[in-house]
Amino acid sequence: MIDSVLLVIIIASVIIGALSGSLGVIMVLRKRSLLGDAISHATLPGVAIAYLFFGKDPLFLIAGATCAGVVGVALVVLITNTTRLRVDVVMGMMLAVFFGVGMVLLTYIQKLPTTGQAGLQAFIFGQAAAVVWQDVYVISALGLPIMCVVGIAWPIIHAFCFDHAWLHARGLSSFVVDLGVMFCVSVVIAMGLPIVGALLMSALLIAPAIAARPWSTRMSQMMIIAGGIGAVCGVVGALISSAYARIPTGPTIVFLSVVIALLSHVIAMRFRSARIRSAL
Amino acid sequence: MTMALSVRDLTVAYNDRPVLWDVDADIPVGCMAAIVGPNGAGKSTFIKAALELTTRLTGEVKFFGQSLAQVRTRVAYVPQRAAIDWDFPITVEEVALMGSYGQRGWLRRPQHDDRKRVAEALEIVGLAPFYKRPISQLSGGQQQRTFLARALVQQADLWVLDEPFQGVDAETERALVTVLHQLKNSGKTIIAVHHDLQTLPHYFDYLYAINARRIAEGYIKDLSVNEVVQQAFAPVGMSA
Amino acid sequence: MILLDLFLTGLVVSVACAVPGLWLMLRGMSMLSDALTHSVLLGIVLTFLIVSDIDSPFMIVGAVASGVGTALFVERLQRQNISADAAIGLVFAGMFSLAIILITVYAGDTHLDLDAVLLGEIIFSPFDRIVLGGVDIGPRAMIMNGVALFLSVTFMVVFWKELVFTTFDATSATLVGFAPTVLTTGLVILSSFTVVTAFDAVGAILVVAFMTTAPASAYLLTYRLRRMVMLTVLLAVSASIIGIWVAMLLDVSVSGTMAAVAGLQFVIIWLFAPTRGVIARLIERRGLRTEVLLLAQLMHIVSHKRTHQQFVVDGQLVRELQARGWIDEAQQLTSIGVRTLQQAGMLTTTAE
Repeated sequence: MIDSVLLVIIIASVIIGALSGSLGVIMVLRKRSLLGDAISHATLPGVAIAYLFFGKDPLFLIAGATCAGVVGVALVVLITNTTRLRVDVVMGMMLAVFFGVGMVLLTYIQKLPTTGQAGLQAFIFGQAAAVVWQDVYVISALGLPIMCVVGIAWPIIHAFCFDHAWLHARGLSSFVVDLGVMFCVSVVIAMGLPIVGALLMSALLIAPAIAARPWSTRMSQMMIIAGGIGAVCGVVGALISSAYARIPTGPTIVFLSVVIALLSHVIAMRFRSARIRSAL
Repeated sequence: MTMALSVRDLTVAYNDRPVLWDVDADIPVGCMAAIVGPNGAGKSTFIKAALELTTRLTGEVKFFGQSLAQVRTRVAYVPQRAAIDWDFPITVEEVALMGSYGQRGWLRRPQHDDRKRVAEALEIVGLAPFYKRPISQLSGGQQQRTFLARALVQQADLWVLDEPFQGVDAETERALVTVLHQLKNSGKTIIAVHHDLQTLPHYFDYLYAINARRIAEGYIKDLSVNEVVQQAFAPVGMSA
Repeated sequence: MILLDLFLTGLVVSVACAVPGLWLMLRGMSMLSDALTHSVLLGIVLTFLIVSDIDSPFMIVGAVASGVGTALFVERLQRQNISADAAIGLVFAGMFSLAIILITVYAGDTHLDLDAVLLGEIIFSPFDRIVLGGVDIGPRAMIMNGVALFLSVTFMVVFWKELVFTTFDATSATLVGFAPTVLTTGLVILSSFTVVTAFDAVGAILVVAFMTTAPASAYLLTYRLRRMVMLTVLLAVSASIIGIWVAMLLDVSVSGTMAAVAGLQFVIIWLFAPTRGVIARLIERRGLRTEVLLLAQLMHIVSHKRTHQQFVVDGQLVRELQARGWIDEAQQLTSIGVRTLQQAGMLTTTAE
């Protein structure tokens, strides 16, 4: 029933959905929802440069994407700290300019005699069908340590979201913690690119987290709920797109997660007003 | 006696959580009224709801016995310092000129006599030398005086100020009070959210104490200020 | 001729995006420009599925409607305790993903091409021309963006006073009868219109670059609004001209290069802007530090001369003090030094 190609897509989608869903909670709680968008667009030049030097090895492509994402975030932080510009302007600018540079590099690669740009376009729109076992290995090999880091550094991450004084009291610079967290987020975004694409990856980061928000006040629970929602969206999206030949996987996963987020808030509102009414 | 501001049964809620409950107010013309209450008592909300800047659940508000729509241009508002983007690319003169926009209405450009009034107002608040300067290059006190000039240009009868003395130096505070007292003496009404209970009886002659409900109001000479203030700062629920 | 058309189109697109972009930035709505570029696509796709004519004027109506819809939807979500950025991220992702799903599902039957819509290629724009009654008026992209630019500029000139007032102090503007929502709606409609027309030429994502970069660069250069508008236009023009030229030299994506040049312009201004640039401020800070150190050293010399104590001196600072004539060879305070100290408020009575 489920063939090997579909199995690969499902496994990859589940891992990406769960990872980005749970890490997205940090972004939403820190009111950084759009920074994810900036990172995912900013990865494009990194992908192109990595391709230019190392070819199509997924590990190097992810590494390049991650580096570009981190550079993007660092620039956003640096520019907002040294100018009067608001952070949303800077993010919009960085996102688009990095994307533009990425476009320039992609068109350059396209013209190289040795290669076609062979599937790099997939990083913009995502192309789940092209995912192979090797990608799954890389995703798992990177995803597991990230989850371990989150688990081990949990008190630090929790404090990063709610209690900067705690960090300072322990001599931890919130900038360094910030950089670490953003690095993890960039890695997850980079891993998601082949399936979901740069344009929509950030949505998979925040939508499950927004969906989880009304159902718990504890961050750890929120991360588990959001990770679950992300994983479910991954499976269902992959199944839907395999059932109907033309429906693309990445956008379907994202669309599902957005619908779930909206529904979740509508249902939560109903619950709340019912509770208020019964209290009266 | 006509009331500059009269409020009946005003209730305001944020996200189903009531902030003001059935508030009444009768602030007479020609007084300088302080709105006093603890943090979160709804002082700013009271002002904003009266000026129809937030939606209110119930309540009727009259200015000089008329609805706000009829007296719009006679009411000047000086926002909280925190509500303004002080990096905005605008000069002192342009801010003051905004005082004339209400009377001009949509699409009409400010006229020569508007500019004349701006010059006069800037003279009064002592900002005449700085009229071409961007507001970002002013001190906190000068910024506050710019807004005062704008209200002067508007030639309003009722002045509503949200924490006008917040973040200004002592000298500016004295200058502001002087201008406000002059206005009061010329028959204008001033309503200000005020924090400093020590200066309260020196600056103001009317007190409106609020803490989700009206605690008390009246001329300061007729009230026992300490008692009213104590009552206002008691935890909500105990006073009711 | 084609080359000229290309340059003109790039220039018009760039300026047409920058003008509404400046106002969105000043009103703290830059995130919306990001959202609009994504969500407007859904309007385009849906309208296209109904009228199936990519040049139909209804395309613009559909796109503008979805743009306004986005703004309203975001506002509605914010009342649901979702923060503004999360709401925007959610809404545009939903609309955008749906649009891409629709495009790929119907791609075979239509001429809607994902790459073209999202990435755009201005290089072909001179060949798609508007011909009215047998007369060639010019490239479609240039004409359409010219209309968008004209509308934006007209809107800005006509409602200048109202725009400034409601942007700077929305509360007071509301109070005296200028409803900010009227102007916000106007801006959103204009921006949606601009985004749609610019789409064709430069693609959805790069529209964001043109809407944010030139205004942000201009913002760093001046504190005066009129000058800011002028600088925005100038920077948009230069980014487009240099961008197109470089792209033709290297034979790479034209719109991408325009965005990259705009970004480069910003970085240069950010680093080197007079008085407010990163480097200028570093120099100023160091300069201030040196001044303070010099004064401190001078004070040090004065007080120790008075008490006839041994004192430690910093050779370099002393030489600088002597070079400025504040002290003489014997490290005695000169009259210039006295005046300097008095001006700095560190000396009340005349020394010596």
